[in-house]
Order: sequence, then structure tokens, then C-alpha cells
Amino acid sequence: MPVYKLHYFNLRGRAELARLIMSQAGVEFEDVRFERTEWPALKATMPFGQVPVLEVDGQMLAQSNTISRYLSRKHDLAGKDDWEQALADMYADNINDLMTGMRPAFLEKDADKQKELYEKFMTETVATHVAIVEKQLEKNGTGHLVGKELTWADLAYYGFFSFLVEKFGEDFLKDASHLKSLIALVAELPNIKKWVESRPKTEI
Amino acid sequence: MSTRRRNEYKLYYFNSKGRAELARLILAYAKVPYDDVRFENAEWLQHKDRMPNGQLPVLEWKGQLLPQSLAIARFLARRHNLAGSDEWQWAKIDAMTDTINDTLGEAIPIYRAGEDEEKKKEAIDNFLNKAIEPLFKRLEKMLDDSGSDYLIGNQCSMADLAFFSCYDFAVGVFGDRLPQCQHVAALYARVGQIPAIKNWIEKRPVTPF
Repeated sequence: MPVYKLHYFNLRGRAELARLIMSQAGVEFEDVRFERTEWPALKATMPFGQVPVLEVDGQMLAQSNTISRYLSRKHDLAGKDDWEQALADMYADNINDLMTGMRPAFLEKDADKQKELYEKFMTETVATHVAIVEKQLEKNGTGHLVGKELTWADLAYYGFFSFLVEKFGEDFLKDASHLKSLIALVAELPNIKKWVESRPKTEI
Repeated sequence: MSTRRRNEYKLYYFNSKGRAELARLILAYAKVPYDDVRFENAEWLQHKDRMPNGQLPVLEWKGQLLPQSLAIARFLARRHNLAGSDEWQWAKIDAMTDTINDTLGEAIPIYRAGEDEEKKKEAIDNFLNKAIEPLFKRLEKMLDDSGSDYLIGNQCSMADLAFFSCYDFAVGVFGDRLPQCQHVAALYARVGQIPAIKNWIEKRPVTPF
């Protein structure tokens, strides 16, 4: 069994999905977290000068969704067939877009401007997306985003939306009962619950 | 009734890192508690007249007020074991700190540019190309030649903390555009991992600059 080593900052950010996948799969991993001050020196050792990076048997894999996809495929969380796998990819890409969409607000140093940007993000970008995904969940009718069983798509939505709830409260999900249920479903999975309780507490 | 021992030092500045952060890093390194007074702009106007130069930062020690960020840093560094092991080393530490201070001075046009995006971009590019890059190149060579873990001599000094403050600021301004220099980045990591410094970085107020 390969030993996984995940390299990232001491944040959830773009590494948390991989951590959730490995936790759910019951797979042991070395959760390497470095400080911001250590990053400039480590940057040169990462394949594309970015993190997260998954180290497998001494080989380095970059790109957060690629890492998550690789782990999902290896541990039965990718979807049952080509089409399901593609749908899971699609949902993971959605979350990626939302994370990227949030970056300007996150990086804004002026507190008032930041508040404005976050509000715009939540009321426009997120609200629009929530309405769409709520309909998809309803249509799929299984409680999961893809097919009948848990896939990394569910974990991706849990990861990001549980963070949004933490930061902004539950109100934005008031008309999204299916998405709310999905978040609760994942939160209650024993391995996920265990991980969330034991992981380092970080702002993002 | 409990009596709290009064802190020996009181540092006055705005609520930012700016020209006070070097003193704060020195006090953090020395593990010396102090009053970290941060004025809001309106509040500052009430205190301005009693400050020697009408400027901040100011260090209050034994009821006396000392202005000038580098004078404050030197005073604290000498008292708390960050001044090297002999006079010549101290002079080199002093010179290095002045050099880094000059480099940071090149960032001032960025703030003078205000809302003018074009002027701001030009000021940022200038700060990178004419100030930060040459400094980093010089420090990289110095560290490579000396093989030392620190800028002057073999122990942490005021110069390393000044460097840390500068690098930290540059990371905030440039992110990925920051020149990749192995020894320079390693020094930044090294200082950042000193437990007392790491602790300060974690608990200090988060401000844009």
C-alpha cells in the first residue's frame, strides 16, 4: 500500500478535499502542513511551485482536483462508470470555480471593501449556484449528487459549503433543503466526523 | 488586591506593522512584555504634540520618549542580545539594517500613488526591480559565500529581524512575483520558525501593511 504524503499550508483550502477523501476511505496519510514563512523556501521543491502536492512513493502530483480524482478512483469514490465519473468531475470543477471566485474577496485587504466583495459573492455567485444544484439534487433523487452512492462530488460540496456556513451562517441555504441534507449526510459519516473533530482548526 | 508588574517598555504606533514592526520583532525575540499601543488616526492627533518629533513610532522607557524607528530598534537590540558579539559586528548589523530600511523606503511611492492604478503599478514594479531584486541578489550571494545561517556572524541579530520584516512585507506586495532566492528564502523560514517569532506572528493583529 503506497504511503501518501500531502503537502500544504496549515489550512483547509484546496487540500481539504483530498484529506476528506482519504479520511472517508480509511487511508492513512501524512498530513504535512507548513507555515507561510517556510513556503518561499519550499516552493522550489514543488513540481509547479504550488501546493497542494500529493507525494506517492516519492513521486509528486500537483493540482488539487487531480489529486482528489486520483485518490477517489483508487478508493472507490469516483463514480460507478465513465458517465458518473464525468459528472463527479463536473461537480468538483464547480467547486473549484466557486473557490476561485471567492479569491478576490479573500485577498482584499481593505475591510470594508472585503465585506462588500464577500456579500456580492454570496448573494450573486453562490446563490445562483445553490439554486441550480438544488434542482439537480432533487432530480437525481438519491440524496447524492452523482448516482446512488457517495462520491467525491459529495465530499467536495460538503468541504466548501460547510466552510461557507461556518463563515456566513446557514441562511443562504434556507431554500436549499436537499443541499442542506447532503451537507448533513456527509457530516454524519463516521470517518468524516472523526476527521473533522481531530483536524487542526483553521480559519479557511 | 493583585499588583501587575508594569511593563518596562511602551511602544506607540498606528495599528499597522510599518515602521514599528522591527521593534516589535526584537521585543518578541527577547520575550519581553511591553505595551503595544496602537493609535487610530483620530486618537493620534490628540497625542501628536507630546511626541518628540510629532511622529511615530516612539518608545517610552522610564518615563522618557525616544523617537525614530531605527534608534528604537538599536536601543532594544543592544539591551537584548541582538547586537552581535563585538563592535565591528554591531556596526555591520547596523549597516545592514540601514540598507534594508532604505530598501523599504522605496515602497513609499506605492502608498503615495493612492487610487491612481497606473502610478501604483509603476511604483510596485519599481519597488520590485530597483529595490527588492538587487537587495535579494546581494543577500543571496552574501549568505552563499558565508555559509552562515544568519546575515551577520553566526547568530540572530537585529539585521535578521529587519530582513524578516522586509521579506514579510514583500511577500504581501508581490506574492508569486517575489524573486526566488534559495538562501534568502531559507533565512526567512528560519527566522519565522524561531518559537518566539512564530508565536508573535500568530498572535499579532492582522493588518494590510
